[in-house]
Amino acid sequence: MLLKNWPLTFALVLLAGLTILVPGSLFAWQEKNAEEVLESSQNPAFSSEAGHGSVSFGLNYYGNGDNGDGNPFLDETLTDLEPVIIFDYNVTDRFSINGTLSYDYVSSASIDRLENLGYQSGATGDYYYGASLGGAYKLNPDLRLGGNLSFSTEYDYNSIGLGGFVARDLNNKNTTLKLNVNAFQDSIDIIRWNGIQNEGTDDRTTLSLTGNWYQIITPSTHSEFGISATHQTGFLETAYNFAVIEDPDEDMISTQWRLDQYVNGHIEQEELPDTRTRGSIFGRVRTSLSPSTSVEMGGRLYADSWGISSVTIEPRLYQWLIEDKLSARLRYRFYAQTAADDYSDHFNLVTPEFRTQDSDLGDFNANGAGLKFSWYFSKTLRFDISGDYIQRSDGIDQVLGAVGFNWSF
Amino acid sequence: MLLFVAALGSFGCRGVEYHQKQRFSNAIMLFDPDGSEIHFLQKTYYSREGSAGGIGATAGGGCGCY
Repeated sequence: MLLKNWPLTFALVLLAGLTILVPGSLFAWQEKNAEEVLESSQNPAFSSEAGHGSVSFGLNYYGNGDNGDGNPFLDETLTDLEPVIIFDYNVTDRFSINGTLSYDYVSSASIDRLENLGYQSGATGDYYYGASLGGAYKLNPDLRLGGNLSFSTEYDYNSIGLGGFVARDLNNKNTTLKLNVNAFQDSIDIIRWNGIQNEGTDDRTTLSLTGNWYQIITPSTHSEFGISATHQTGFLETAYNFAVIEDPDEDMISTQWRLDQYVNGHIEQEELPDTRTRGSIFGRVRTSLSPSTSVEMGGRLYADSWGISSVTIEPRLYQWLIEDKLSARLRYRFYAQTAADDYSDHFNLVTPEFRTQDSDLGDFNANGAGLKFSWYFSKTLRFDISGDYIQRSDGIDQVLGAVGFNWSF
Repeated sequence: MLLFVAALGSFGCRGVEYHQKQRFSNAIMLFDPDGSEIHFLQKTYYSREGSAGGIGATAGGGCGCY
């Protein structure tokens, strides 16, 4: 019922959230409290004073192999190299701006395949440019409002996004409640698996509402919990994905991009429902065991209207190796999901109305472990380097690597 | 889950005083100090898993990805 009337439900939840978060003293600006004065004197990174801010530069690497256990008809090997710049700047004591610029270079077996077919196509997005600009305004020491605008473009995909939040501190800043609203309007050039593009463009609309609750529990433990609901409509399948319908009475075909795969049957484009509603709850608790050691436990439960449900568990350990100079973070992440209702790794004889062989919509579990080191040259300059390895039960094992600098001023 | 959250709320309501919060300024106690990493992980999980959304993440939209 709630899912069916989602616009009304969304509006009611938004209204309820704003009623709770926005108090009567909306414009009752007060002087900076003692906590903020201390924060800004200890570390410019925490300062909300005019003229302060930070700049981060990161270079991220993602790569995955494919041993054929996922989609048996597609080589899903892929690498992605992504430089990203993130900044924030306090224009005044109350108003700050922030922004992100990113670029991705993607190379994959499927891009090579399309090039071999003679079509100039970036159907799997061989580049990505993204930018966002946001602002936040502190109405009083306990109340903040903000918003952001984002753009991105790929060879076959364009997106514009709009977001906003309201955050309210309570209980002497031991509690913060935050409500985020995000909307995306995306446009997809429909380029099919064989490079044919005679269907023009289609749209995808996403509306998301997220509530966050930050809570200081004890002098050494704090936490964050949240709940998120998202509704998507429009063209939700991946245009260049396909499904192989196997039939022993049909001619043998070669799926070309995995040369050892020859089957009797034919190829159909992926088809998926044009609406999807997602919901998740998540949280994490971090506690300081000593000034040099902290531990965190995080997790998430997720379900959507396509039949996927998932669970994520992520414990972390933070350790100063050299006090105030070098820290390490060790993390483990377990993730498991059930398959979408319309997913199958093999379709035999009949062509279902909805069908996908996208291994990311299949059932699998993943075990990931990663190590990160942060070197603090000073209180304002930090260097990060990290690496993660994720082993997936369907053979799409992944390697993540990142280096970055952060400068606070 | 609700009981757990309620328990946390009751702890929080006792109120941790300002002078007791020194440990939260320790760099290893900060939630999400690395914006680049959040951006990267959000995109990776969104692209390679059937679910999306959570801490620091938007649940869909904005990216055709890979």
